[in-house]
Amino acid sequence: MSLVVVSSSCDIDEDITTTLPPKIILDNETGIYTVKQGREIVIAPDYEFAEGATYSWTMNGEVLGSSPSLKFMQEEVGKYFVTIAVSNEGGVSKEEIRVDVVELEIPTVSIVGEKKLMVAAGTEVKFNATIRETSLATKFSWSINGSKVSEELAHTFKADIIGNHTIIATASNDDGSHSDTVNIEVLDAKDMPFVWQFDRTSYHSVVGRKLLIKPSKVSEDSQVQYYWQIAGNDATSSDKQFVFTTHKAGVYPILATATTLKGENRITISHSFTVTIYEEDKFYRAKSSLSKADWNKVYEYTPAPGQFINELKTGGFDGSQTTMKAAIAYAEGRLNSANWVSLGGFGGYVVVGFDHSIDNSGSYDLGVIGNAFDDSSEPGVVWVMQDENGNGLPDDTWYELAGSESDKSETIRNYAVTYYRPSSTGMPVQWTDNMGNNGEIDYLSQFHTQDYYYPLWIEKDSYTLVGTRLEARNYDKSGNGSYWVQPSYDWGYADNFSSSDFKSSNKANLFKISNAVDFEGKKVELSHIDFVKIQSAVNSKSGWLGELSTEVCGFYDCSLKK
Amino acid sequence: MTRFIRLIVGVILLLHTSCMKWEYGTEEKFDTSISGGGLFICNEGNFQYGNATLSYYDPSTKSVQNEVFYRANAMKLGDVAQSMVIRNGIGWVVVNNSHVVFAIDINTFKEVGRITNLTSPRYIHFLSDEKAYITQIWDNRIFIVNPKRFEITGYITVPNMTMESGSTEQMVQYGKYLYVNCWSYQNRILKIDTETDKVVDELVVGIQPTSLVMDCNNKLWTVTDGGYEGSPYGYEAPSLYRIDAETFTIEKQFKFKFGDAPSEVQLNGTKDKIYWINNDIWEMEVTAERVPVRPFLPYSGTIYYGLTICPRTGDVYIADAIDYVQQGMVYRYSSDGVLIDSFYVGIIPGAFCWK
Repeated sequence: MSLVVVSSSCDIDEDITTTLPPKIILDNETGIYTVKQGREIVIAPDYEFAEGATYSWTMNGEVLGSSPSLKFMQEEVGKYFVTIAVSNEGGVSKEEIRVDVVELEIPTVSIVGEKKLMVAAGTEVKFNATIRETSLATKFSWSINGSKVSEELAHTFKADIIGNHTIIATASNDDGSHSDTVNIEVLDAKDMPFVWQFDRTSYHSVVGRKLLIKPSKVSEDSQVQYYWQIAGNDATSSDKQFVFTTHKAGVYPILATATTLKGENRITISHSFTVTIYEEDKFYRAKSSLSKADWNKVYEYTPAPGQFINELKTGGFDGSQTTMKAAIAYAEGRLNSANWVSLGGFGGYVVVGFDHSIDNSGSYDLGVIGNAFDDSSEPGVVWVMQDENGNGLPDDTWYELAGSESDKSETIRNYAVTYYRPSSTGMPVQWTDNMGNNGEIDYLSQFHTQDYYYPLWIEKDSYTLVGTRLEARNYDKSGNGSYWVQPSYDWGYADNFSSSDFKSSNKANLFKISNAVDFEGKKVELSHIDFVKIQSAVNSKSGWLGELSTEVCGFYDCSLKK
Repeated sequence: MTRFIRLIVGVILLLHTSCMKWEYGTEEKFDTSISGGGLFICNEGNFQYGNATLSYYDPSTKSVQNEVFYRANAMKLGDVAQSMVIRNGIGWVVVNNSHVVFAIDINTFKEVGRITNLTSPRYIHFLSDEKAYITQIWDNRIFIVNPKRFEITGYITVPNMTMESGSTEQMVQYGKYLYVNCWSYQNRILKIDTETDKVVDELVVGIQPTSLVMDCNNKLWTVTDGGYEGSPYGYEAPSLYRIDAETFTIEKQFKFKFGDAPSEVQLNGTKDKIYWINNDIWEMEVTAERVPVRPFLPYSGTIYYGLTICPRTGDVYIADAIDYVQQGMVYRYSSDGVLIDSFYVGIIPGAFCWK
C-alpha cells in the first residue's frame, strides 16, 4: 500500500500529491541475522508504503536480489553486510543488516587414554569418553568392530577374542558427527611380550651418592628373575631396578639380565650399562666478578597442559611455538623481561641454568621469583642438579629440595600424570594418573580460546610427567563456587606465599641447597648445584578458575643478589 | 594460573603479575596549569603488586607523562588505581586495594590529602564540597565522606547485600536521587535519596551491570556482562539497557549474543551518543531503536579495557591492556574513527578522567 498525501493550499487552487517513501520493518529487532555455514536463511522484512516499489539487495556493490525477501547462504564463516534499498516515487529507503555466518555445531568426542593397546586375553579394559557438547542434542555411541555396543560414556571392553579390535566412540547431532578410535590387539597371555626397557645405557654420578638405575617400562610379571653384575661380579640385587653406590671414581660396566617363562619358552632380556663416577667438585664452576646472579639459560620448558599454554592474548605465545627450541625461546623471552612463565597443571616444569655453580652455604642459596600473594599460592617443587659430568647439560641427577610437606603422608613421590592430546580443538585435556584416577584440564572457553591447552611442541599424543605431588589446599571460600582461594604452604616451594621463605619485595621464595634429598627422600650433601627445575606440584582445580599451575618469573643466586 | 580476581571478574581480568620494579629518585615538579585541558589515565597495575600508576596526557601537544603521582610525590600510588574524578581543581584518585582515595592538585599532581580506612573503594561521587559517596566492593555499604576533612562520616547500608557479595559501582545523579549500579554477583540499579542517605528503590536488570551513565534526555544507560560460565550467580546473554531516570523503569533492552561481554558505557560531550566496548568499540545515538550492525572500531585482537570520549572534541580514547603485564597503550581516534595518536601508559590502563 502506498500512502498518498493530498494537501490544499489556501492561495493556490491546486492539489499537491506526495507519495511517502517506503518504510522497511526488519523481521529481526537487532538487524543481525545468524545462520550456519552452508545453510540458507530467508530475510523477509515487512514494508509500508511500498506498493509498486522496487527492491535491491546488495553486498559489496554486488546485487544479490530484487525481491522483497532475500535468500542468503555462504559457505565461509564471517560477518556479511547486506543493504536492502526500497524505492518508489517518494524516495529510497535503505537499511543495512548483518548476517553472521557461523560454524556448524558438530560435537567432538575424545576417548581418554592411549589409542593403541595390547592386552592379554581375559583382560577387561575400561574406556571413558568425553564430549564437547553443543547447543544441539547429541547422540553418543560405542561401536566395536562396526557393531554398536553401548550409548553410555563409560564402556568396559572384555578382551575375550584374540585378534585386532577397533573401538570407536561417536558423537553426532543434526550438524554432523565426530569419532575417536582406539585399536586393541588381544593376545594370548603367553604371547604377551615381556618388556623391560631403560631409556639410557650410560649413567653417571658422584662418589658416595646413590645412583638409581630404573626401567622406563616394565611388564608386571611375578615370574621374572633379575640378575645384576658389576664389572663381572654378581651384585646382591634381584630387583628390576638397581641402586649403585661407590666411593671410588671410575667407570663401571653393569650387566642386567631378566629371565621369565612364557609357556614353555624361556625369555631372557639383557642390558649393558656404563656407569661413570666422578669426584664431586671436578666440574665446579667458581663464580667470578663477571658472574651474574640471575639464571642465564633455559634448557627445557615442558609444562603440563593449562589455560595459559599456547595462549595468544595474555600468555605471550604467538602460535609459532611448535618445537622445544621455540618453546625455550619463548620461556627465555618471558623470563628476560621478568614476565611469568606458566608451568600448567601438575608435573609441568622448566629447567634453567646459571653461568656459575651456586654454592651450598647452609643458608638460603637460591631465589625463585613467582607471583604468589595471600591466598593465592600455586606451589612448585624445586629440584636441583649438579653438572656431574661437566658437559654443560642437565643430564645428571635431580635432587628434590625438601619442603614443609615432604614428610607428610599426604605427599606422594613419583606421582605420574599422563596427559592426552584432545581429538579436536576447544576441548579439555584428559589425564590419567598412576593411582587409577582420571580427570581433565578444563577448557575455559570464555577466557582462553586458543585451540589447544596441550603444548603444541609436544610431538606425542600423550606424555607423562612424574614428580612429587602435594595435597591440594584450594577451596571455595564463598561456599557458592564464586570465590576460590589457594592458601600457602609453610616453606620450601616456589610460587608460594610462605610466611617464612617468601620475600614480598620481589615475590621470591628462597631455598637452601642443604635441603636436598635423594630419590629415597634421604638427605644428600651437595657442595654446589648448576641447574634448577621447578615443577607444578598440585593436581587440582579451583572451580571456574581452572587448574592450579605454578608460575615463575626468575631465578637467582642469593649470594650474588644485592 | 588461577589468579583471577573477583574484583574484576566482570571483564575477567587475569592477575598477570609482572615482576617489574619501580625505583625512582626524588620529587619532580610539574605545572600543567597552562596546558588547559588534559586527560588523566588510571593504570590499575597488577592486583597485589602495588604498581598502579597515574598518567597525564595533553591532547593539544600529544604528549604523555607517566607515573606522575610517584614522580610528583616520591610515593607509590598503591594497588589497583580504579577511578578518578575532578572537583574544583582537585583530582580524587580511588586506589582500590590500598583502601584509599588520594586528593591531588590536578596541575602539580601533588597530594593534598587522602581519605583512608575504606574497605575496597571503587568510585567517588560528589554531592557537595562537604559530602561525597564512595562505593565499595566486598562491602555492603556505600561510604559517606566529608572531602573537606577527608573523613568518613557515615554509611549507607544496601539492603539484601552481604559483605561478601557486596558490590556498588558507578554513580549518576538526577536531582536529589543518586543511581548506582551493583555489579559483582549482582543485578540491580539502586536509587538513593541523597537527603536521607537511604536506598529508596531498586531496579532489577540483567546479570552484572558494569557501568552507568545518563544521557541528554535523562535516560540512564547500563550494560550487563552476563556473568561467566560456571558462575553460581548465573550466566546469560548480556544486554544494554535504557532506563528512564524519572520513572526508574526500563525503556528499552538491547540484547546481545550469548558469550558477548560488553562493558564501559560512555557518553560523548553532548550526551547524545553512547559508546561501549564489546570486543569492538561501538557507537550509537541515544535515540536509536537498535544497535548498529557495524562497530565504530573493529576488534583488533587485543584487550580493550577502558574507554572515554573527549567532551570537547568528540575524540575517542581507548585503553588497551595488551596482556595485563606490559605497559598498556591508549589509542586516540577522531569522532570519524581516524587514528590521531597512540601512546604508552602504565600497566592495565582502565579509567580516564578529563581535566
